[in-house]
Amino acid sequence: MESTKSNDRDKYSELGEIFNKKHTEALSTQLSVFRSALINFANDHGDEIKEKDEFRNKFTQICQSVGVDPLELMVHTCSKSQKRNESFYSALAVRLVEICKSTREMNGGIMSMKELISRLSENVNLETPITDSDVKKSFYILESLGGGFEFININGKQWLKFSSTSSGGKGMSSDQQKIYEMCEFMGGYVTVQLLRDNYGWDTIRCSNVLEELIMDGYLWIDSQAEGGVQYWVPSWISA
Amino acid sequence: MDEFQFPKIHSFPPMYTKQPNSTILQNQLDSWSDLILSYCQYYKITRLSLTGSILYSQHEDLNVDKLPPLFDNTYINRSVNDEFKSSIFQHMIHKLHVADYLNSKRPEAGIFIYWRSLSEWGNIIYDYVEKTGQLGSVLTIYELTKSEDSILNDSLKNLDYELLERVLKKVLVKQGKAQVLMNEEGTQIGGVKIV
Repeated sequence: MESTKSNDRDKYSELGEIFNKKHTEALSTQLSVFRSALINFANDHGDEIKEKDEFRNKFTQICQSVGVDPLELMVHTCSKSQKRNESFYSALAVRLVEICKSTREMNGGIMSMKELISRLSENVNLETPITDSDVKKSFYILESLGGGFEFININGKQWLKFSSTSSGGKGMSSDQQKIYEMCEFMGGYVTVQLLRDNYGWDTIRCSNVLEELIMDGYLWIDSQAEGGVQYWVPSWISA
Repeated sequence: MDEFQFPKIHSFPPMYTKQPNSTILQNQLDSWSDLILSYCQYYKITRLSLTGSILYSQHEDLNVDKLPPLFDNTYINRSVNDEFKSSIFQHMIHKLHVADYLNSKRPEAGIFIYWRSLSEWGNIIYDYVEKTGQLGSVLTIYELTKSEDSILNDSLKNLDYELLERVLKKVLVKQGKAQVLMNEEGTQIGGVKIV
């Protein structure tokens, strides 16, 4: 008796799972249909959405309720019309900041232009691809906000550097924290070699984080050490 | 005499490298200035060469070669190079006004270290002369700085002639409190009248 009961229960839960799955699939199909409808709608009525406040509010609400990023739509619709306007670049700038924020832990605040563009184009079906100059233009918007973003040239390639502390924010990135941890462990200092060996960072990442910390006044340089430059925390003096 | 006890910052390895961040550099230069002032005050050193060697101390029996070096730390094997020493002295002279060239046209003649300002030195001289009832009388340099007289103010004992001359000319004469009489050759001060 006991065994058939548990058998029955298994069957039921199996069935339940199947139903659930089907339901989810149906819903997500509906959603994606709705999404593409929204995108089409935004394409067709882009100008109206932009111009009429009330219309835009409603549209944004609908977007949010089905999980469509209105900014993404903005990027999408604007890219369709050949002349890209201000809101396209603003939307791109917001995405740029989001990408930088979400990847900072991974890359320590530095990303190649190539990777940036590929990430910017993710999840957006653009008729004309995002170019270097598009990124640069949205970058200027950020710059006028006091940004902390900077393009640097490494071996002839463009990289975007997005520092975390010099932008006026007082937060500390996890890379910077890791450097502090290492200093603590080493009795006051780190070297590029130590960071490479222990954290597996490449040289660019090391020097980027170290540079930031030096510029913000958190690290002092000692260039007389045997076996390469050491970077010291001034808190050593008062410790 | 016990050895000067350096503060912990003298053992901080980056102290010996000129810092690239200008804000940190200002802190670093301030720290070096403090260090130099307390070192010189401790050993009563009033004059240094541009490389930091001791040109004059009021302690007669001070063995200059035995002193712990200011710009080197042998324990951590670090030293300040001449270029950075020069930045430190520039900072003391032009920014903090706690040092000055003996002769600005000949910087290599060395610098005064003002762990006591010129006007403080002026006050000490004036007070001593006043207290000993010698206002208005002509005193020789010997009487002011070398006399075995136990009344002689300890601060003035063996005072660097170069420094004394500067204090008299730049402070007391300007304040109208001193008249300086040159010796026959006109090269050195022969006597002073404090009024």
